[in-house]
Amino acid sequence: MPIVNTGRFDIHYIEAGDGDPVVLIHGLAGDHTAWLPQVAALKDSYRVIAFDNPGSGDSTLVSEAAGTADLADATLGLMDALDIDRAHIVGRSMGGAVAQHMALKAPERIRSLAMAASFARLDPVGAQVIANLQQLLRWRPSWAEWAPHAVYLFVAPAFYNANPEIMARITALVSDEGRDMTSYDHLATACLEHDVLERLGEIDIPTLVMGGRFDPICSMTAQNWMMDRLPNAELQVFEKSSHFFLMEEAEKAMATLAGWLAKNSD
Amino acid sequence: MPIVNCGRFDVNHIAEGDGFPVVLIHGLAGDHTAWLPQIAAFKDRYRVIAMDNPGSGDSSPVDAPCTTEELADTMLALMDNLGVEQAHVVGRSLGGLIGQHMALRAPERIRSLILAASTARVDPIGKRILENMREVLEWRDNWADWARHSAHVFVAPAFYNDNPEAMARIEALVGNEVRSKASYVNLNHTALSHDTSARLGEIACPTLIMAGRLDPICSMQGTDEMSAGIPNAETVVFEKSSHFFLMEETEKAMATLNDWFARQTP
Repeated sequence: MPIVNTGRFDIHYIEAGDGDPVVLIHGLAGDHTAWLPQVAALKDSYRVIAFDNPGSGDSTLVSEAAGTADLADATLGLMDALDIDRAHIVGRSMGGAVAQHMALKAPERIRSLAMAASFARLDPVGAQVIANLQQLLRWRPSWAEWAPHAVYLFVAPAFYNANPEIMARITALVSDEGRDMTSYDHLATACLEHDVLERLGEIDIPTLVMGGRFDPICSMTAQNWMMDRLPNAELQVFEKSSHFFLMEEAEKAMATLAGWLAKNSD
Repeated sequence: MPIVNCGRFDVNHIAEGDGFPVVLIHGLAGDHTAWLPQIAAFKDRYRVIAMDNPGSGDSSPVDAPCTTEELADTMLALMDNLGVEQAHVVGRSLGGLIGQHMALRAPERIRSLILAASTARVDPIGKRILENMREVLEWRDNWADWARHSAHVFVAPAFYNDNPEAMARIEALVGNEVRSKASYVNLNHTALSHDTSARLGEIACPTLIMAGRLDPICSMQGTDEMSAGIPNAETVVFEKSSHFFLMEETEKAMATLNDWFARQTP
């Protein structure tokens, strides 16, 4: 799988399909594999690009402080390297925060913006939860110990209780001791410091805001803050889900995303 | 405040007002002061009794493992001591677990049972959260860290975000360093080992089940099991709340209790 240099960071990416480009940006605790269902679903109609964020997977580690604006530069650099002039951008959680900086820096490169469980500024409970997760890893530098303190936040209680095998798989994924703790620490700080809330009025690109009713990390408070300020946005709420509604309500989420991309393509 | 011996444990309690007795049993992380709003609201019409559970406040510590059956015996002994033959028993969270065993052991003593944010057995996500809380206390050995790592599950995100002063008050209360850590650890196991799911059909008294839609500790899955299993039960769901709906939707919660007592008092 290819790696390209984007300046500060080398980025490992995958691409599949032909058509309008769609760039998928994952969140704080994931890597490009978070998007495999979307890649599979969208590649027949679009050129779909997913990549490991700096600090994740096979991309450059984040060994010094880096902000969401730096990650936006890396993502725009990836688009340059792939000769992509303009793309639909889909970001989940921290990936949505990165996408906001892309839209502010290079609006002409963004055809549409979709944000899943994201934030322009973490609200009080979201900031506390992210600070807690960062602190837990500093106290106990073990992903296996960290994982159970994180995964119960990702899904709604009904999903957690009904899907023990999926929860065990997610716990095993985030327990992978190969993940770089320094990168996580810097990127958690990047989330805590991300704040473009009062600049959202500048983003007049068509924007889709998706939130999970049960999500304590990027709660409906943070979604409503964005909706109040984005001039050209629509909101989709996943009533039964938390932070992982792309998985918890997979069918509805995929239909929402496919409908959104179709509506905003030529 | 009087302390009376109730067998294994000495129990500190308050009793206010006259009328049909109402016994209020708090949860794992509280003490009798959790009930001050209810005492104030009901003491004009009822004899309202609230105690520090064993392991809390000025009652005996729980320095060895103990079961919800034993705690039920303690509460029944307190009723004996106070000359209370029959009462409405209101239990929140762990207090509801205790209330179930009171109803199973001494049905003639329980006029009605009110289970607030409770469960017949802690479901998978609730177990994980209780284990996480115990781990944080064991790792850090202080209540301030525990409070910061627990508060977000007690209330819904919107409440947390909209009520910074209430959240600071909750964190200060549950972060109070005089609380007995050994008692907490023992009672955390007490809650985890509770299971009346096979005996719910034996709870014959009128039962009011109250639950928060967003509660991950005593989720709607546990609530639905009780509603289906207890033959003479009514269920009221607090749609905007988590584990602390008595505070989060205080007006509705107080009106629900008020109406229940009025209907169930001889």
